[in-house]
Amino acid sequence: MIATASSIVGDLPTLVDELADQLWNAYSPAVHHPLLVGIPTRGYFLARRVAQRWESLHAHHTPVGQIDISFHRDDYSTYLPSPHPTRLLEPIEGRLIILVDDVFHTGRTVRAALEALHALGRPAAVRLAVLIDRCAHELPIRPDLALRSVSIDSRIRIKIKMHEVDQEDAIYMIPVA
Amino acid sequence: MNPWPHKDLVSIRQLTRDQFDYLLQTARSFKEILSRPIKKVPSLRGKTVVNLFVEPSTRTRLSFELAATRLSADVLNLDSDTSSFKKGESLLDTARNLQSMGADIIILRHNAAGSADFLARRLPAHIINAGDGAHEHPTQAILDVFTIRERLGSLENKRVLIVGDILHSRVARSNIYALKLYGADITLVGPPTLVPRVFESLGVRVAHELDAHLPTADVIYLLRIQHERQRATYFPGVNDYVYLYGLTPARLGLCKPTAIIMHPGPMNRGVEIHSDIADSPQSTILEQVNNGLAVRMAVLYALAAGTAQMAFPTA
Repeated sequence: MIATASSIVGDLPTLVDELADQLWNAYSPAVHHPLLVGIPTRGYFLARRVAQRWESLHAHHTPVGQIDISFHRDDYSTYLPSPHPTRLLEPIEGRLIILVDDVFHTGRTVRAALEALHALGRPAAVRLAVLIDRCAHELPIRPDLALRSVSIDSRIRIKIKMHEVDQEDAIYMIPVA
Repeated sequence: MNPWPHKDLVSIRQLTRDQFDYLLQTARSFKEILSRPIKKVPSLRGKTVVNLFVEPSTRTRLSFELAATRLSADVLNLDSDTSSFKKGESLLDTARNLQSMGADIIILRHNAAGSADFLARRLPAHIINAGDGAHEHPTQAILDVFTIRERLGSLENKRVLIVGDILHSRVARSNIYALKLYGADITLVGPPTLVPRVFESLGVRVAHELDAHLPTADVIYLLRIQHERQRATYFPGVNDYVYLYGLTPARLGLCKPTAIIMHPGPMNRGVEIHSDIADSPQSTILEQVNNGLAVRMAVLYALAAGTAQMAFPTA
């Protein structure tokens, strides 16, 4: 029982371009020189694609890093995450950080990411950009930019697939057993 | 999604390749954290870790203590000299008392093979074997595999020589199981008294002459001559041992320039390893210690999370 969700939210490459363009307009990277920081796994590849589009459209280079949130999760006692080492190419102190993730659900992942970031320094500001906001927030944390808001049954999982790791670009809605 | 199924880490033989890979991957993340100005994460906040060392150790005990501290656990240290063992309390009674005080993880070093398994079967706390007699020392083997893969990449078909007192070595046993899991080609070298042919049943080669094996070796793993475990005389004297098996500059000349020299410590400079070689760029001895911290953090992390419903995410 796998349904593709592109009819509801649009196809992935178009969404990614839209994300890059809206971020470019909202945060003027040419002026503020932000660091793009992805939340592994797919948030990191999204951040990379955003940087690639900025590079090709505006000839602007932006460093892309990833932040490992495994050791800061609050659901660690029920779920063992797969760690991806933190790689930030430049110090975050005093910088504008744009955190990127694919799906925003409860806010717990982002809370862990903020804690992990603050263990590394004090950024000037942190903004959060996601493709899809599931509108099921459990914490007072919400994205600064969400391309689509989707309010669906919590038993349906939204799964983003990306060529870099999944051999296809797609968005699926999968009923959880 | 694969569950993390183990309450305890008693033996390398418990681990599948996937589970071993998970520990190595987690250790890589911890190594990055250990390179930061603030080397601490909150994962084990509120957990109590007890180092129960009934046999002397500096490196392993400090490494576990620091690993648990970096994970924000509360750590208690108990060693044989200052504990009730001197008054005749049994291992099980001591451990039960620790459990009653709320210990979540007990790290055991003991001179009896099987002691970690003995406690693991009787207590709800997680037990980590930090060396049980001549049986196993699993975290040492995990950090050794981590170190070899960092230096040489894959272990597949790499030629590994383990040299010295295999008979009394838990490090050798754990490493044989771990290295075989990664497809290494293993030869054990030492005098027949310390490297009996019975080890061939583990799927390794046994040799009694070192020089012939040096030119093709990718890893030369030296073991300490364990004077304290020798109840009989296994070789005529230290000088004879150095003459036949000591890694001297002349012998290093026979090795590939890319070969790495490993030792689990504590080393006897001038016996199994010449002092200059211990400090050479080919030596990984201090890297092993450094990696040991990240690997022990990974083991503590996986076990502390380990319950029946625990799962690896696919994403």
